[in-house]
Amino acid sequence: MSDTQWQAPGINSKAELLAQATIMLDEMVERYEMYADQMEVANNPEATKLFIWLTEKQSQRSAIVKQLSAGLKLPHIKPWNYNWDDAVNLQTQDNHVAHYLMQPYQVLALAIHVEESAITFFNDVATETADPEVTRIAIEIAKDAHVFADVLKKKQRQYPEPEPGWDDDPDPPLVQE
Amino acid sequence: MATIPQTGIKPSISIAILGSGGSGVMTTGSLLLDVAGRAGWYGMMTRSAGPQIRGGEAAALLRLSPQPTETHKDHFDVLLALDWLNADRFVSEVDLNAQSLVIGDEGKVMPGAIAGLSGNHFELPLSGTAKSIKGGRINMVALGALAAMIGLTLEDVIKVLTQSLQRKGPEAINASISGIQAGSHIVDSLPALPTIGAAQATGRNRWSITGNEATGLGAIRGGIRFVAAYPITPATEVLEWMAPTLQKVGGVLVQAEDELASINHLIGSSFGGTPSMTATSGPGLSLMTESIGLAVASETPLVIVDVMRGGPSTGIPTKSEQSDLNIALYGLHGDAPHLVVAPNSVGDCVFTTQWATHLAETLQTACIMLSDQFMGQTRAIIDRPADIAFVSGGRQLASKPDVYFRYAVNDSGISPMSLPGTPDGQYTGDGLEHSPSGTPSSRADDHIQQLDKRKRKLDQFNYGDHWALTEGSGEMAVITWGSSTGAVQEALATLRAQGQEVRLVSLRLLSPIQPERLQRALQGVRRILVVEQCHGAQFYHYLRAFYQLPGVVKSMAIPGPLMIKPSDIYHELQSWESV
Amino acid sequence: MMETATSCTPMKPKDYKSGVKPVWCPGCGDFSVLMALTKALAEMRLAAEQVALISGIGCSSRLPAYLNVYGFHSVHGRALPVATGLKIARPDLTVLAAGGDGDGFSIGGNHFMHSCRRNVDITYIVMDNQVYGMTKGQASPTTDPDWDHSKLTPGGTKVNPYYPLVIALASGANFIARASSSDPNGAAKVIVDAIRHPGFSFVHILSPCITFRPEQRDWKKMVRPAPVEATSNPVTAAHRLMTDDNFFLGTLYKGNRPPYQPDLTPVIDDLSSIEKDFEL
Repeated sequence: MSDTQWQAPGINSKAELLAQATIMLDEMVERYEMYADQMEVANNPEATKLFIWLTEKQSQRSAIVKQLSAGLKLPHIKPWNYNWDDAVNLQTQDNHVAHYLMQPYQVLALAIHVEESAITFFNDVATETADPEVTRIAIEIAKDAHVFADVLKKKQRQYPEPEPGWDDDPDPPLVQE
Repeated sequence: MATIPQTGIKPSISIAILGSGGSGVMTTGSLLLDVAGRAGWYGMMTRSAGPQIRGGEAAALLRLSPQPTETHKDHFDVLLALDWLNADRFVSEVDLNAQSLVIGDEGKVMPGAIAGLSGNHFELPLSGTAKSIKGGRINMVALGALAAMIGLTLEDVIKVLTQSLQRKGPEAINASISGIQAGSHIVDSLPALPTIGAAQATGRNRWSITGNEATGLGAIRGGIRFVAAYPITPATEVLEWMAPTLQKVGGVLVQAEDELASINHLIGSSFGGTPSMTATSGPGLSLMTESIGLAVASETPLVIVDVMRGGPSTGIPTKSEQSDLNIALYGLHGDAPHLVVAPNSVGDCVFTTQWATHLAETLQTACIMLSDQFMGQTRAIIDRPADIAFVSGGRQLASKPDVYFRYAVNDSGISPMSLPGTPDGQYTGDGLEHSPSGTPSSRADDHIQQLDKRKRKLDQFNYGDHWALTEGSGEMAVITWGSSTGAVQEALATLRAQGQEVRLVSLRLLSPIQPERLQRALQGVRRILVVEQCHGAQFYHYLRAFYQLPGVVKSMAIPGPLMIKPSDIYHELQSWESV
Repeated sequence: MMETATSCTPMKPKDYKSGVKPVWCPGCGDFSVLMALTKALAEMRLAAEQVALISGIGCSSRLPAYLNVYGFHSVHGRALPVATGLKIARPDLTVLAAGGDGDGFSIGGNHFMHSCRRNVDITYIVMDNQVYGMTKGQASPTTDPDWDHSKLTPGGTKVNPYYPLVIALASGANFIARASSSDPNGAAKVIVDAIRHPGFSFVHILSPCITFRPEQRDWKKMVRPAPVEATSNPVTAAHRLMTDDNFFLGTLYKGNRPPYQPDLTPVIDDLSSIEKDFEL
């Protein structure tokens, strides 16, 4: 769905919040992994390395959220009830960096975008919920995302911003079947 | 034309029944064949017709004999016409000799083309007799006449008639019986026909069956439980017989939107584990070739029956020709080793289709079976084809694999197949070249490994004695295949009766080639005649390309639509002999 | 549909993926369709070995290899007949077919029509990007007539595009929906509904080709949910299609025609009664 229709879900229990956060983080892991695979297939080792690094980082964060859920029975949430798709959906961003020649700067820009969307999402959850426990955890997750976003930004500064024409390829696409 | 000396070959009587649509020519022929079969004779009937969907002219061509027979002889003993309308179109198909009886309806003018043929001409009051009976029909009068002429008892005729006309009610049956009775009395004035010996007592083991039905039965015996097809002449009867039969045995026949769909339906059902078959003719086979290649590459078992007709293009749909050999052997793009088999008689359609299924399932590939219009649409009285049970083989299934590789490379070349539903056996079947796991691969080593494997499994398999029908001895041999076999056998029987030994090799397995087996079969042979019903001598060129043939080799390649006659082969061999 | 064996333990989308890495271009919409499909299967808790995905040829037809279900990658245009044969012979399986617009509507167009008509219980997912990606960007049946980026059709095809939903409805598909790869979760819902609905289900997924049709990135801004619920009335559905601009998402039509599935129960256990017919 487009941004205009996006709404923070009203989350009113710790279990519900953790269920959503878990799926969200797991999906991020999966998407970074997919990107790593794509970059590997496209012979872009720098981007591959960064996506693998992102996959690992994201997995660690996912594990922490799962620890928080220990002993709780998390509700099942159907994919179409997530409502936060834009925050995590790397493939469908309508930016032009989703490209086989993408550079580390752009990989990190994607990840920063993800974290910033997550910050907005969890802050919204925190303000809209009636449950103080949910507010507390949501703010914590948002803070964590903030910290990670800062790490990403710092890392991004190590790489140059791509020059115009970064996606020029003198060779035409290959003919397959 | 000179005739074959009657001594030594099977005594038989050949009858041609002609008439316009609506006159009941085919019914007369079928009933006569059945009655003869009941009386203990063997026999066969083919049909010939004009291009009209209904109406038009038709001919039922019968041959009856105390011995099994699957070829017409060189002349007809009796030509009986219910009417003469357009009968001249059959002149090329109905050869007569000086002794032949040519019988027409009283007062009707025989066409010039027929009158010009040799034979003794007679008139019988066929329509007149029919008109004198309430509800009487001319074809029943003719049936009575013909039965009486060849010595079938009225009692036998009535028994068969009553059975086959059951649905029409007692009134129709009684009218028919009256017609037959009356017909049997109008032939007293005719000269006697040559006697063909006493009929053997018949047991339960005598069948009346067409090649197309036999093909269907062989498929069912072989375990085929899924058929998808598009109607096409002359293969449709295979499908018509199979559709209700499959329902009984827990199978299904799907009428697809086209041949592209039908062949791919089979790939789906066979991928799911069900032995699957289609029946088609040349144009349909042409459309199917891309996906037959897919079956080869993805190692999906399937059977494709091609009931051949005259080609190319739409060609002559209602007439036979053995001219699809090339497309069956070489029609697939790429190096695509597959099986090509051919039955050599109506009865052999049962065995060969069953065998085709067994081979396709065992070797996980496509098997094309080449039948033809003549064999497919001939109705023959034969001994019940034996039950064959293949003790080993069949589709090798993967059981509880740890790590499953669908296209694992091994010595036999046959990789166990995992069927959908089997846990941990998931794989993707592919027509793209693939690695042993099934993942698409364009690597040279994967390609050579998989090419080798797909060839190896066919080359190493032991096809046993089924590869060919071999008969006789001597320094002269005839190599043939498919429905030409019957004519060759009859020609050779004549030569043998004259003291000339000739070998017969009729190939049932056309691909993969069996050079060592053929070499053994031809040991000591100095002259070979290659007989086929094909203008381009496709079979001859195939033999020349892949086999070491000893001595002098001659090609006798005659196109359809006329069947090769035993006498043609006899004269070819005899003239060669006298050189 | 006839529910096939399901798993008792919760399934994750990832459980349905094979280890094979896609050859698609990064940014391709088909990645989202892959995600949507694995989400749908996980949501239905279908045992992976009870599912078969059949495809033809094209970029999107590479899909089966990326899933951990049974797959068959057939030849160009023939996904539907293969899937049909499989489902008829093995009604216990959940059978899916997938491919692109060229595969499904051009070379396989006749099968599309007849599969809608036959109404076998399979779900057909077409990833439409209005271009032939695998052969370097030629026009497909759904390409606009003035798209002139292919050397094969200088100045554009000048041929009217094909409307898959219209054909599907006219040919008798029992379930017709459109989804977008920009919303894989919404697509997952549509796929679940399609699989659950008996008979032939057609899911049209807008899935941009960022290599040959980079302008399709804008599709994300153009798609929107259809403002109405699915109908079981083909007349209503036909009326809606009159004003469809190709970007309305959701389920258009849910018919109630019974699926084609022959009974495969044997009624005899040996062939003697069959052979008796040949005896004289």
